[in-house]
Amino acid sequence: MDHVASLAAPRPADATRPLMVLAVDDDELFLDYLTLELETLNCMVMAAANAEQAIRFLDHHAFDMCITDWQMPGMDGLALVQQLRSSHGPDQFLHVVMTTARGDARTVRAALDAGVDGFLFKPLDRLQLELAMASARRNVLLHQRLRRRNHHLAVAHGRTREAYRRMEADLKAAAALHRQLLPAPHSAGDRLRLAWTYRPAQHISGDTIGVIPLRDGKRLFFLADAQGHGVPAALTSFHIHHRLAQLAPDTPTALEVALAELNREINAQALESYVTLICGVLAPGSGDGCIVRAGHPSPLLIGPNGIEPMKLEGAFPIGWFEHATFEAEPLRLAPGTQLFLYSDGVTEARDKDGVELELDGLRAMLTAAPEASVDVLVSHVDAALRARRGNAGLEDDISILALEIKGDRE
Amino acid sequence: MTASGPDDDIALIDVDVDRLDAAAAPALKARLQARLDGSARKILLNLERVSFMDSTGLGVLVSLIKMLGKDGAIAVTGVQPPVRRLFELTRLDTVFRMASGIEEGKAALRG
Repeated sequence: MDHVASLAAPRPADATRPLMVLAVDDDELFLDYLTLELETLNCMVMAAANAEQAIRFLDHHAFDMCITDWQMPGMDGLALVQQLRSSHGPDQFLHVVMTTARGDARTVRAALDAGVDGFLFKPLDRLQLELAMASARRNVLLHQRLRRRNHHLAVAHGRTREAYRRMEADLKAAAALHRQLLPAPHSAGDRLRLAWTYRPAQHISGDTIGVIPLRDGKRLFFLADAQGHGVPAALTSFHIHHRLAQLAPDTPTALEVALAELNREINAQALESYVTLICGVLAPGSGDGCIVRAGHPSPLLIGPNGIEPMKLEGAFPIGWFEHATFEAEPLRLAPGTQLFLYSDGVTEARDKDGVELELDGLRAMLTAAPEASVDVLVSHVDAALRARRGNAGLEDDISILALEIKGDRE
Repeated sequence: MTASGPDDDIALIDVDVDRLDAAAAPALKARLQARLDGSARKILLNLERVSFMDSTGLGVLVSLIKMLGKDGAIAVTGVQPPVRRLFELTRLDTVFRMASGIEEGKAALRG
């Protein structure tokens, strides 16, 4: 149950409600007279003959107002006001008026410092009392209205926070589901070594990475980037990932058919979403396979001859045109060569001065880790990208997938 | 964004924003839709002022292609290198007739 909503709402401000008044005076006759007058002014009065009795009443009853004498045997009025002010929280309200025969400046100053709101001078005059009570009533009503408004604000704020908390929990759950789709690390005996990094700019990302085992030891690998951000992009990338794993194409023709199918599915969604993608099939035994570039930056080949983007004709992004085709181009990954797939969040990562990394910057990062395994390479680039952004956080999702085939002698 | 009146069936549209991104895309899309309510089926887009285009801007151009349908044709002129790279990356360069000037663009659309 919502703990804020369960708080009792303060009573509505009611101008006709009697004011609850605590009257304190050691002069029984004066106390009697004050009580009678107050009752004619729509007040309910509890009368205390001394400060100690007044404190007991205050402990057990709620008052709007306290009218206390100054000079009393035992605890005087000033000490009473000091004590009740110090025991009251800042949100508690009690209008305090002091009755006194003394009207000099020092007396008034001392009473003000103790927390007195007004004075009534003895002998008491009816008009003076009416004026004081009218002022007290206005204060009480104003206080009640403020309390009520604060209560509504607190309830509304609590509901907003609760809604936000639920949404955040949902997003975290969705992000966790998405993470479960990401590739498992390679096993020790596997010829195909793989490493990846996946850093959503928000809770959930339009990027996804997959490495899916096929029959005969082949692998389907992909890195997709659904355009846009947040939930719609994440749903699209989730769809792409799920469908590719389901269709599991293992030949060039099957890959072309699968991507044409996915293209129709995304295109049929009324949303203006589309996906850029690198997707391929690789046989780790031979290093042969095929690859499709759909509107996505070409992956890099990192080898003895340097770092170059793969030369691929490419096709439209997935989802643009209903009848688009996606030609699978040949891929050959020799031992000692690495295939480096990345999302444009990598090359568009800005430093603190707003300068984008671009392909040359990425190449320089990769060159700084020569002859590294894919694991070392990806951690190196990941760390360098984070260092580049500093404390600013990511603007765009960052995804990297690197693959290499272990040679027989390694 | 300005558009000159069709002296023939070609609508010339000057995209006069520096960045064609999520902020500028809706205005361009509305403008294009308004132009296509007429009879124009051939569009010459002048992109010489556009130095940056993101995925949303690209999306508007794709929806333009769809709006025009099979009979339509688009030529673009004044394409700056970053925008050209984006067209090549996404193969939009195979859909647009890339021209190096207004007259060349018009000629490409008439041809």
